[in-house]
Amino acid sequence: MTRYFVPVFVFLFLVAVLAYGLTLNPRAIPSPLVGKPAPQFSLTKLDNAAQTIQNEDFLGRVWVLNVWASWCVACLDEHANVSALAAANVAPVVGLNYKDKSDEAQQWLAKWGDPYTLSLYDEDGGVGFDWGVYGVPETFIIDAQGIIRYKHIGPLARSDVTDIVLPHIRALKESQSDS
Amino acid sequence: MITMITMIKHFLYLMFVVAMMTNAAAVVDDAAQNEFASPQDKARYYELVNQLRCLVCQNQTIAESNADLAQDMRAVVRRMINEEQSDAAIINTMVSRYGDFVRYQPPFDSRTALLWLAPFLLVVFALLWLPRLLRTQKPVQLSKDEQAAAESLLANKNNNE
Repeated sequence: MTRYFVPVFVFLFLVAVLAYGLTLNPRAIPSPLVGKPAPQFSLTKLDNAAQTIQNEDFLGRVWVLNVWASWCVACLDEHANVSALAAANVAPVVGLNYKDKSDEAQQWLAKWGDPYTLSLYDEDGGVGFDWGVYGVPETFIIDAQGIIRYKHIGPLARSDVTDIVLPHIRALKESQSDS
Repeated sequence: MITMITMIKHFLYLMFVVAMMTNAAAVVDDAAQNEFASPQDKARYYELVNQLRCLVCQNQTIAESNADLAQDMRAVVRRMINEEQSDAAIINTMVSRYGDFVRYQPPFDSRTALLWLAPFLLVVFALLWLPRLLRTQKPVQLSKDEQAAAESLLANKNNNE
């Protein structure tokens, strides 16, 4: 009996490791930017090309950056959840309109609703590149000191919003008011 | 029983398959390849784009991938080469934004050492284990009748060949 112990044990160990692996997303690439200062940017507003916004404008408060595009189907999927996040009113949700056409993007917002405090127009994707965006949609939480604290890859599920993003924002706001 | 010829055929077939699968280093995006100041720059470009992973089609390099992001990344490599930045600076630009995964070949460091060494370790382990395994095998004991039957079969075979 005991001679079977090692193979059975190795087998069970492999099963456990592989079963855990099945719960992981092999395409998700953790961002090296979490914990680092948000990359410098200077972009015009989507609806007002005369107005320029920079990341310094957001210092002093926790905020969310949601990367989206009118050509992105998954962005439409998560739109209701992004709207719910914005409606919770805990942090401004800023859109980064990524590699899109200005008029098509604005039409998309008019048609489906605009949950964003404002949208930044990243026409050539240069800012997205600096933020390590490789697929749309992606969502970042940035704290009041301008440090990226969390990155979500792919569309936000409602549970992602209620169980991860909102608590994270609240925790950051609390530690901000403590310091 | 597999003869030498069959073995050679199998080997050649395997080599053919491997050759077909090997990265042919053909780079998408031919027009822009003439934008370099010197052949050395162009060579650097080819080398670098074959070292960086496309994050959309994650099993391809940015040299092979048609994805938008791969195009953007190739453009960044081109720009940085024309600005005379070093290979290390270019790779670092990508890694600082996308992490180590963007390097098509994993770097050799404390986290990936096991990944790199595992095949060699397995071979060494097998070589050390094999003598032990062979030593513990007992030779088969045949009865007198079985021995006679085996010998006559072998004699027949020798006569037939």
